Amino acid sequence: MGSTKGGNIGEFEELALLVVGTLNNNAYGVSVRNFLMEETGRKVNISAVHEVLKRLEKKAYIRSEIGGSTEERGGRRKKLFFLTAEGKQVLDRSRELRNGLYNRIPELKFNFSGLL
Amino acid sequence: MKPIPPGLPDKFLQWFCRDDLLEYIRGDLHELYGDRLAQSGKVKADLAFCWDVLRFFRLSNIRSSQNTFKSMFMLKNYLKVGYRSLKKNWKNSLINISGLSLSVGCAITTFLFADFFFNLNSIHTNKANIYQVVSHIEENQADELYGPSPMIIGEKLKADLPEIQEYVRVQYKRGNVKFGKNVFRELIQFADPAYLAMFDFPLVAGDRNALTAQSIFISSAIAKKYFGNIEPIGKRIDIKFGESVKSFDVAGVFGEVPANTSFRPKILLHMDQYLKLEAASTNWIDEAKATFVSVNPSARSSKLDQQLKKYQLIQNEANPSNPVTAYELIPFTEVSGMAGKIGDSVVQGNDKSGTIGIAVTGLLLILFACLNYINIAIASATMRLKEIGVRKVMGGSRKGIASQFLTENFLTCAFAMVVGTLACYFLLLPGFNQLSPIAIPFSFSSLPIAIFYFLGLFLLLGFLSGSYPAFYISRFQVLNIFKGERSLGGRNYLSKVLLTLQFFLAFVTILGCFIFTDHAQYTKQIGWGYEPSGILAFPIQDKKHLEALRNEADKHPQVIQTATSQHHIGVNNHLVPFSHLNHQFKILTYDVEPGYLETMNMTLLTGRFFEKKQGDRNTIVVNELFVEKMKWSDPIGESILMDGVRRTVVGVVANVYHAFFDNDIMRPMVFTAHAAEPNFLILQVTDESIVSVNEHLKSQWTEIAPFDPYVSVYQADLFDRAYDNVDANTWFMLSLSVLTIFLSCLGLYGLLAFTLQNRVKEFSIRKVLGASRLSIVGLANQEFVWILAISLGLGTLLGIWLMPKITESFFAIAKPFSIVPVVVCLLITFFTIVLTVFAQIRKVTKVNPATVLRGE
Repeated sequence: MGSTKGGNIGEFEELALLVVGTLNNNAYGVSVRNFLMEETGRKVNISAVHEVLKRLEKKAYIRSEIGGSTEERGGRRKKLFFLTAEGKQVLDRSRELRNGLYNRIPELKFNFSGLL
Repeated sequence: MKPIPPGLPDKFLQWFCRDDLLEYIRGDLHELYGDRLAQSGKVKADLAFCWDVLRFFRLSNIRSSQNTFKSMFMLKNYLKVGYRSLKKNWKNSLINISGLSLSVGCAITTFLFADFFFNLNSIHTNKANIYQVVSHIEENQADELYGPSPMIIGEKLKADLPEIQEYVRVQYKRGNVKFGKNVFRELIQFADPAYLAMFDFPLVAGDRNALTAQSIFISSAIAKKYFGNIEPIGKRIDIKFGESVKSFDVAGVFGEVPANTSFRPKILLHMDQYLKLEAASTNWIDEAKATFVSVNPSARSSKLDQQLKKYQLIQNEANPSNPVTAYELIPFTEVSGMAGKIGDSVVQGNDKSGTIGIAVTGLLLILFACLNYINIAIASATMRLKEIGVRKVMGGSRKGIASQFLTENFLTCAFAMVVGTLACYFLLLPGFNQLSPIAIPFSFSSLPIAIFYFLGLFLLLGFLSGSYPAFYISRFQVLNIFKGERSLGGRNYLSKVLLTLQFFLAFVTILGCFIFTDHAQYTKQIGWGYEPSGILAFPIQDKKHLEALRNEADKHPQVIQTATSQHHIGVNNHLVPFSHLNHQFKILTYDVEPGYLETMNMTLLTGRFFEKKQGDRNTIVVNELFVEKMKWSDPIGESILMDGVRRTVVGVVANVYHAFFDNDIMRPMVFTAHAAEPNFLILQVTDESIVSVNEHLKSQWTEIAPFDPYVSVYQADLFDRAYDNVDANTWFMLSLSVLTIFLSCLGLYGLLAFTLQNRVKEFSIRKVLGASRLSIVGLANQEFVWILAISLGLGTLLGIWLMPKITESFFAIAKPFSIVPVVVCLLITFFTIVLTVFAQIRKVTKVNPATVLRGE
């Protein structure tokens, strides 16, 4: 499904996927949001996070489990997200592509600076 | 300690959110709330919480999106069942829906009326800044508002007060307007050139700045009347005022002016023309019919009113015989709502309280209709108890059953709305317009208002009439329904009180209508004090024309006699001051030629009529009321001082009407035998030939006066407008009475159906045990007899007490009190009620006890 399409995912989706991977075992709505806000400095609404997580789960890049409840949640349980193998693949592919493209940049830069 | 976020958004979230997502979403939101509370305080956290909840309100999170199929399916079922039950009880449904439709129609009509009058003059964009200078005068020791103001006051205000930007004076005068062969007498408006800038009357041709002393502006209706299809701009129109003829070039044509405009120009001339024609000048004595000023929006008018004080002093000094007590600037938007309060006002409108009264009547009608509907709806639902029981047993929730009945109800209401709108468009509004002097179009002041009103009415109707039955019915316990222990029907005190009130109001209206009609008939029958049918009157200014027409009339064999006069009873009633024994009076005075009284068929009581001799110039004939007022025991030979001349009474005539249906249709009158400037030619013709004489004279008229229109008045038609007015009032009251009695009977019908439905078993058992039909009818009606007795009794008392007061304000002549209209009304109401009750009671008395009792 998602992977057969070549793993085309949007920028925000990719960020969320990375965060879910990073947060390992503790990725749920609020933690993903807070992490995203800290790392990117953007304002992120919780509903947007929920939407993107829903979409990623549908594409099978992440899976969810029912987590434990805490006092500050009023005894409500968390929905914890984990990176799947497919999700990891998409991230790898995306990283390769980026690195490949990125690696060409320093040469250009070098050439210009050499002229100076 | 766990922080608690604001309850309302939290509840909202719980309401809309899908169950499988709710826990996580809510958990996340609460956790975030706690963080925010610690970081940035309660207010910010609350706001952020609300915002987040709103952000979650999206289709993919909303619960009902999954249930659409089921509710659509149920809706179809509800509609089908609703339609079937309507069809099954089609008689009830028909009566019910027609009652509802009728009230909807009335509500729409009254709303159109109120909307029309609350949005008068919407074409004038600057109307909020326009004020009229209104005078306060003292009349009969009371403060009265008076529309006209001194010619000079606008100019002074503009010069002295910086807030006043512009002023416009308006005056009117009649003149004979001629173009080619078309000659008509028209009312001509005169105004200052700023008039066209202050008011936004649309122009279809010409220039707003082109109003000069030589130019004329006309309405498109006038343009069509005189020019037909010829282009009017630049054409020359002749207007004859009195003796002088003036020419004007058409400089502008007004377009269609919306019906909700308080005053509109038909023919407009420059104010200077008026001043010249009337030899008036811009001073404190000559008056403009109205002075409008436009005020700088930032200026406060309360301060302005104080500054107006000094003009009152100046005016009082300049014109001591007609002093004003104060000047006031009244907003143009309010002037139109004060019609009737401002004397001699040029701005038409309706009294604000009248408009509100009509709107409230509309609302009350809707309310009554809804209450009746509720009664009938509950009654008809009792016939569907089994259905409700089955639905509940099959798992129908209370909510489901309530929504079923609401859906049905909204369907009925939608139908009633459509029928009501059609009834308003085709029946009620045209009828209403026929009765009122202004034709109100079927249009709303703006589209949003129309949508808002129709939607609001629909929801109001639907919920008001539907919610109580729906929730009442859905509350029934299944077990009780099937056991037969219907806890229906409580005591229903409220419906009974309301029904009493309805019948009371209905009866008072009917009684009012009857007494009014009875009075009108009586006043028509007793005559005017003289026989008007053979009298033909011609208002003619020009003495030459008058003489020529008189010669023509004298030649005609059917003309019995002719007379001229300066004033004419009923057409030109003229008040003249005179003094008697140091008392000042104002009295209706008619300067007539000897022979006028005979021509008018007046009845001589004592003395003699005028004779054609020089000595009679200073004699007068008076009427009975005048003798009464003077307290003369032997009037012949008495004298009064009038116009500085002592005049002696030579005869007394019977009282005649000079107006109709007014408060003072008969007043003291004086006739003098000296008509210095005759304005009227009066003919006495044999009754049957009056039309042919009129036709004959009309054919002769064009030769006599090609420049003047032919105007003749049948004296018998003189009070037609008053008659029409009374007829219109009668019709209005009649329709209102029919409506109220119809709605009340509907309510009675519903309540009766409700009661009988509950007691049908009781009656059956009574029957089995040998009760007679009559006693059952008695039992069934027991409680309603009281309702009717109370409402009719109170209604009769109020009617008898109130109606003379109302008729007094309409009719000058009081009809001796008679019980006949009251009895007729009682009979009519009683039979309507019996008719309503009969159909229902018959069912109970006819029913076979076996069929009712078998069910157990």
